[in-house]
Amino acid sequence: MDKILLSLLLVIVVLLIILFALFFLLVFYRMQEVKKKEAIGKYIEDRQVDWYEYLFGDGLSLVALKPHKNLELEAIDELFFRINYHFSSDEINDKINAFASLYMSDYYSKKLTSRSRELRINTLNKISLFNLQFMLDPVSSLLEKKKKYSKTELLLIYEITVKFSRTDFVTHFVAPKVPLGEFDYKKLLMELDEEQINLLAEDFNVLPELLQLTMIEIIGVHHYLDWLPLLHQCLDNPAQEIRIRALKSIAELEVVNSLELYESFSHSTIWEERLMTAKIFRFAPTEEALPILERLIKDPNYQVRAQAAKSIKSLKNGHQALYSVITMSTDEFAIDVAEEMFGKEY
Amino acid sequence: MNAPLITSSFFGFVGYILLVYMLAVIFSYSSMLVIAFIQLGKERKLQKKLSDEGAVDFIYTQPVTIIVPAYNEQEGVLGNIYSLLALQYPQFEILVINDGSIDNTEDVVIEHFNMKPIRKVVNQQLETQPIEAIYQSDMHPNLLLITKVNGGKADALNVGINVSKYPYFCSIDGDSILDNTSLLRVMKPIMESNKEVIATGGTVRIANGYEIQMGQVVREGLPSSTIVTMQIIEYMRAFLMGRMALSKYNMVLIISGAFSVFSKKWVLQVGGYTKNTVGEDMELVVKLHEEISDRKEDKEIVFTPDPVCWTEAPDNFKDLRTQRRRWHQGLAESLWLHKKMAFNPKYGSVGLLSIPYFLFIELLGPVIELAGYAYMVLSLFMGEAYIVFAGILGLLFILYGSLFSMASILLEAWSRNTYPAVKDLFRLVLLSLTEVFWYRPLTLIWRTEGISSALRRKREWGSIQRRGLSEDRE
Repeated sequence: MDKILLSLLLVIVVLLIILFALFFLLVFYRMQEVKKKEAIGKYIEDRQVDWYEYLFGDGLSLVALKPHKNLELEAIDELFFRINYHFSSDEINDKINAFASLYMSDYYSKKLTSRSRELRINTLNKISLFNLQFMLDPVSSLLEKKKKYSKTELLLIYEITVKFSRTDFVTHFVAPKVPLGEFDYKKLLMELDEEQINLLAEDFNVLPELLQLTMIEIIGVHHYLDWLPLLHQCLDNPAQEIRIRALKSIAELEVVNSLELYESFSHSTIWEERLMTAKIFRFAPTEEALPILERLIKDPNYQVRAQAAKSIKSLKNGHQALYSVITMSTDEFAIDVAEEMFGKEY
Repeated sequence: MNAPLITSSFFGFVGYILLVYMLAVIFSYSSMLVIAFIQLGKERKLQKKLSDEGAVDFIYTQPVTIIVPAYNEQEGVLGNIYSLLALQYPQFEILVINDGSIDNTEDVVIEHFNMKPIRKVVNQQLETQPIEAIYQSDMHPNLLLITKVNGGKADALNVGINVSKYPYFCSIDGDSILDNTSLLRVMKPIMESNKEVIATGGTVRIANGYEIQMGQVVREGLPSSTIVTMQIIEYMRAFLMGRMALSKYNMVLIISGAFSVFSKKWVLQVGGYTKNTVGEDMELVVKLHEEISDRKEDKEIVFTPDPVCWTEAPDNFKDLRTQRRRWHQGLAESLWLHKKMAFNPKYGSVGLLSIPYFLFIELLGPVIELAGYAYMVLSLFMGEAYIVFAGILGLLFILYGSLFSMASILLEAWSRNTYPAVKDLFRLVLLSLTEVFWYRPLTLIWRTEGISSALRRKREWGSIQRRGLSEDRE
């Protein structure tokens, strides 16, 4: 028993020594970090006038800012982040690109191939955030390597490809190296311009369903009216989610024609379809919209009733129509939502 | 066999049980420490501000309703609301639920944010105490105050769920404040998992003694109070070690009610917050786990260490005792309510590992540990052999009570670059070594009282004196 006690005591003493050693190591590294941060801060403070002159004026040449030490590169990297956070313009972006492609290409390329996953992710984030277009090739070449990258890294690589390449992205969208979810597709699709969306939509029917759903949503968010026929086509799709998303995007597009196409959805057994129909009709001519919305304001579903009331309010003479609901209707719930519309809204 | 021999054998037997128990606990905590170390190491060098920049876009962030249940929170509610208004998040509404406060909470909020009564139809999906009035701020249209008949925190949260218009809600205590990126970061696991994650919780940290203006922490530093500093150490250990490890395997049963996000659809499916328990936050999480298993769905509940919520900790023994009794009572009640999940393979790792862990280590731990302390004292009268035995037990207590705390502090400092002042770090380390001698025995007694309250089905919350975190409070 005494031996156990002594051994345990020894274990605890050793553990304590290890913990204190770790503590002092931590303090040492912390002090080094603080020193480095101070040096970066000093560089930024000392050279801020030159950088201002380079980025916002015309007077300073690139050579004057040429970094000589690794610490200066890190300071400039930090400076780019601060500039990006506070200012954003094509002109500044071009100047950052010009400088970085001349003096920082190796710095970022080296970090891209670092053994540390976090460093690689940070670098990919920076390439995307600072719009470092000259890094497209080194980034794309990562995909050809045998190395297994994390999903976060792959998504960032795809995002950079989408941003800086007009066409190469399509294969990554259709056959990604890791399964992508809706959130991932949204992040990527948000980077596409209309021309790129058109390229992708050419093969809409063969795209993965999640990508289809996201595309439908993006069409509404970006108000791509040219794609209204595609949305109409989706209304006949047997997949309920595709129909609902298409209706949602149509509501975003604020269309006032082809209303007969949507009316049938106001009788749907799926409440989300009725909800979206109520939303679409908020921009329709009053005489066409009112009968449908007056029916939907008595809908069994709360959200449909609330949307119908909101849509009636948006119509020409909508206030009067809502007032009629309050005075004439026998449906207590319809009266409630109509009354709410007369209160303050947000 | 004579009586002294029987007593001695029994005493020895109890000693071995205590020893085995302590070794099991130390093994569990060591495993969790290693898992936390690996997890934190993976993200240590990530510059999160870079990904925050890209994430603030309404199209792929889900809108969130923030629900702030407030009962007599006149001291802290303004700082809380200011911090919420400053959140870096594209679309959210704030619902402050005044749960029949008897102080000036309602007047303070109405006056400060220029609130006007509005008419609003409430979708009464959960049974609650009646709403008396709904106000909307003229200055911030996404800020609403709902006054209702007192019904407790769970009832106030249920009212918030009824009034909310977004698919996710975030519950925040009325005396807490958030960093401006906290909501974005706590929502990230939900968004990035493509909705496989149905609830997330962030880290709660203690802000007593910090300089806070307009709901934002402007200067960090350790408080002078030893009792508060001890709680800081305790929070680090609980959040970093316990929750991180359990979360990795989808076994987390507690995500703090002070700061957590839930899918409204799932919470409605389980009937909202349970009103007849004092630990409504844990109770909801356990109900969600039960529902996930019952429906055989592949959903997750995760703890994410990075988003931070600052809260006010009790700064005296009386309030701390009230708080710890209540927490432990909540734990006991939740485990009792879901006893059918324990050791039930149907509930997977939650039933087979997580609930037994909470039962034997978290719930019964205080009773067994107290027995251990008593054993050590009694050993002094039982002869030399037992003194050695007690010595072993005492050293295990030090290992368990103090060294793990010290390791947690170092882990926190290593991974998050917090407490940059060396003297603060040193103070935390030294204080952690004293934990086992005074702080831990006290909390063990209070937690045992919590078990007793649960057995007697006591319902009082007990009040905790709040001073408010912000300096600009009314």
